[in-house]
Amino acid sequence: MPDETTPGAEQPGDRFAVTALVTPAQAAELFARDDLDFGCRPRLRPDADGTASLVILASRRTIDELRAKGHRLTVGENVSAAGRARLAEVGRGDRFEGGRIAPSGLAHKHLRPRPPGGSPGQAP
Amino acid sequence: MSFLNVIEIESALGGLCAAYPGVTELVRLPFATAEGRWCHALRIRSHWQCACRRSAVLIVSGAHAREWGGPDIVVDFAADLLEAYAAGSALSYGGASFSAAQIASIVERLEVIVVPDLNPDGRNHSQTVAPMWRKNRNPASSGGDPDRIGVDVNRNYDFLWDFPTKFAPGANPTTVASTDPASDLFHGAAGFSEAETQNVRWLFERYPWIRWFMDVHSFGGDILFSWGDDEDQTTDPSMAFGDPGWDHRRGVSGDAYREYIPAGYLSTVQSAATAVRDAIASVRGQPYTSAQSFGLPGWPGYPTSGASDDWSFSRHFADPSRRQTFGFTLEFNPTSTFFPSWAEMTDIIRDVDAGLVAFCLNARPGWLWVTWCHILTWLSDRVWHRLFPPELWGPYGPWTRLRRAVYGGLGRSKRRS
Repeated sequence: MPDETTPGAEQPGDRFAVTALVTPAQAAELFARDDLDFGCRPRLRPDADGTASLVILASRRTIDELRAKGHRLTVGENVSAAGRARLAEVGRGDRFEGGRIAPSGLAHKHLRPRPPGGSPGQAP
Repeated sequence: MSFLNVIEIESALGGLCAAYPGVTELVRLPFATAEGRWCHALRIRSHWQCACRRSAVLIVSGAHAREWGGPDIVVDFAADLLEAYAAGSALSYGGASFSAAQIASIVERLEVIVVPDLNPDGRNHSQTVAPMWRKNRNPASSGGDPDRIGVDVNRNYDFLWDFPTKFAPGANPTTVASTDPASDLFHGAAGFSEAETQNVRWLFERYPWIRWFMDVHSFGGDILFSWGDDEDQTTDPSMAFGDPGWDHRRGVSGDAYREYIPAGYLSTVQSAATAVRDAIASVRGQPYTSAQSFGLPGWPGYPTSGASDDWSFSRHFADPSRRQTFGFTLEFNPTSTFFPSWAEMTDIIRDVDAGLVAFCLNARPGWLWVTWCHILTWLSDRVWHRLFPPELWGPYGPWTRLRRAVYGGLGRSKRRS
């Protein structure tokens, strides 16, 4: 599988983000199975030639099985390994100290000087 | 910076409530999770003293544990909204800009309720043990088998929950739901069997003026509107989810059954989804799509039962005394992963937060209603409370004390006689 990318060490049963190029009949065939993981909901993107790309989160065994049945697959990221790698990017402790610190949003605020007597939570 | 853990999500809400006390209220949701965690909602609005019930927007996230960025998006959205409102500032996400007047109109004309993390047990499990975990951590149906723990929160709402009866046998089993506790789509022992869904139902009952509902999920890059059980149709009201005569027929595209949606409502949900999509695109050009959640015309559908968007949308049809709520699902991140790096996630947060601001702007009630609401507030503040000040006429004022003293004296004299 030369087209896959693996962000960390692979473990048995890891699921890859696989893009299947499907016709409506093939999509119906895949949807009729009860053992496939399409993520939160299936993501079907039609192409101009009457086919569509469909993302499946599949193990190597499932990938081999689908290829044996003639499905055209492009194997992408090892999603399971990506999840394990991202565990290092989960917060430790409590950066907001139990509510003593308020989070600040990522938007750029076009701040102007607060009028005298203004206070947080009051209408500007 | 990094993804919020489950403790930080609740602390963030507490921090926002403490920092902006005039326009927020922290509400503890009444149902504890299987592992004993409590979730909170943050209500954001101005003019708390105004008795009229302005429309509310409810934004929830975190139902599916592995979809990590959702709670981060919702916390960030609340922080931005409050920060900008308190400062009287405009805000922008990349190419998407919102004026100070627009931000003020959201807080002053609407009520925004956010629940960033519906499923903290699942998120904690995903962020510490098994990143790909989707469900909650309720062991009730597991029979002691750790591989059978958990219920899919977004298949547990009471909308066509009994899918073996309500859907056609040929309906897509990989998306409808499952009766197998080992499945990622296990729908639970009964509709609303789970604390997570009970908390959402409680919010709708506690705040019946919720008119707009957004459930943030990933991945896909879609803004989805009802229905999710079958194709939409606007002509035959008798073909509807509440009619048992259509049982065993739903969920198959291209057949006789299509779910009824009034044409006006279809237009409303389509324009709202489009507004969100366009706002997201204006940030940095991300290609989100707005679509019916059942699927694309001409392609096999992917029906769902027990999903939050359809349940919230269906409540008015099931009981017309309830206000109509327009329910949506937002699948953030157009790529194919639940786990973008935090650097990528910050870009996604900006995208989706712009969409949520646009969602709220679209949900604002008309000026006539808002003006009436403010007249009531003005009358209450300037006239009623000045003529009858609470310190004189309220429960602790001299008039009440005098009245209690007189009644108490009368009672004592009666007992003596």
